[in-house]
Amino acid sequence: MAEQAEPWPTQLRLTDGGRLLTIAFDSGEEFALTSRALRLATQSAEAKRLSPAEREAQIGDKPVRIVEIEPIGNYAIRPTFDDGHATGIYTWRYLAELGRAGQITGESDDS
Amino acid sequence: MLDENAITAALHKVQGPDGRTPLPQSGAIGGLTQREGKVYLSIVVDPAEAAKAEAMRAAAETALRGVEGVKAAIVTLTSERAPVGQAPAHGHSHAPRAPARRGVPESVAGVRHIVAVASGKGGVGKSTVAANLAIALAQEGWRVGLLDADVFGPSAPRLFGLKEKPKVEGSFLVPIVSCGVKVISIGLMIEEETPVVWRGPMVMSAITQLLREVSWGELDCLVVDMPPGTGDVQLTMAQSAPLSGAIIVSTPQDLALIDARRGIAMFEKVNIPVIGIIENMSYFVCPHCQGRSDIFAHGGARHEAERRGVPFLGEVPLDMAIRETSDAGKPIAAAAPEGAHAQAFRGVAQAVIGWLSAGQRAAPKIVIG
Repeated sequence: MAEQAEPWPTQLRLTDGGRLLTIAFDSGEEFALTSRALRLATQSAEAKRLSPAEREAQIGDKPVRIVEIEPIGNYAIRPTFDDGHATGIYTWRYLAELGRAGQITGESDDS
Repeated sequence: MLDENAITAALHKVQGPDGRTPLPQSGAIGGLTQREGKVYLSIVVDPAEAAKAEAMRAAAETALRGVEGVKAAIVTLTSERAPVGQAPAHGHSHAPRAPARRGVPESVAGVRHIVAVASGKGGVGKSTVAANLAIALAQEGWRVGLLDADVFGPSAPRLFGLKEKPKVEGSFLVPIVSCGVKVISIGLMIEEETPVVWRGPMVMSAITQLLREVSWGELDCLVVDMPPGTGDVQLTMAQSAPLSGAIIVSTPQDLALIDARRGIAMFEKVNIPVIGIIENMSYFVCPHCQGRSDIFAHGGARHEAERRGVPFLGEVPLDMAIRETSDAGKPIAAAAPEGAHAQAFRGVAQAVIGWLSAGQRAAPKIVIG
């Protein structure tokens, strides 16, 4: 059954004043994603038409914080970022993909 | 937003489960959420003490209604804590704006399981199956509700023979009890011949209201009769409440099975497990010659279930008695509970209870800080 291969998170922890989201999966994997990287990776329709460079420019170089996390059914979360963006839905699978891609390090980005 | 301090202060006057400690300090509050002037509170009690705790529940409800700005309050007793990541109640925030969870209840207060009855295709008998399943679950001793989510073609009022409009208590709709099932449907609010002509956002808000602004009370299972297809209603249901699972109804006909596959794929996309497939209109036994005809072919849904690796929950024949009892407002499970058809639904109900009781994956904890 396809369902068993699906990543299923056991815990999502938002730390560092909303700048870091750590996701633990039942596979034992754990990924730390910065809020900035999550904001850049949003799947929202209005952001998808922008190029990665345009998205960067939209956010600027200030640190990004998540101010709210709303669970969506059984399969996703919808975070609200401090710049007001709140239309991106992040499925468990997408979060695992982002984590595994390794494009995001566990380090905080407010340097 | 309501004043949380005022709410806590009001609850302070209510004694917790031990009869002494004020409720906020008793550790028995499982969840407290508010939305647009409505307060939802769940109190965790030992199931054995549930009867005694009713007075406390009522007192808490009265106390909350007395708080300024509260339009309505629903207090439910639960035996287990909702799987909610508890934000630290007294955390002092260093940040300018503390990260917060949204004030939307994760599950529907007091409802243990939500099960969707769906199909891809229309006209395969979803509503009839949903109604009979709900009744069969109630006959198994479960506390059951039925939400008719088909806003454009509501069937529940006719199936359950309901004529009266639901009452409104403190801005919550009171479901109507029929055949042991608490029923709510948009069809109860409008005339049978009046069409509902709405765009998507209206549908979504109606579904959310039917789910959350109904005083369901304590339910073991809420059966949701879904409209056909994979559109607004299905997505709203999948996103606004954690569904325990979905049951797919299909006729054995290829044309219906194609869309049933779409339905299954949609539920997989949103991580809602498929409890199983029911084959409706499975065969027809001629009342005159007793000869059996497979009008829509036979066994298609069973094969599909095997192919997808999901349980096959049973087959329901095409039968005059099922149609007649449905149109007469007393579904077969209630009209002839000892009959063969009702027993088929009892079998499905038992399979569903077994599946739900086996337990599902818990929702992930969301921890802040």
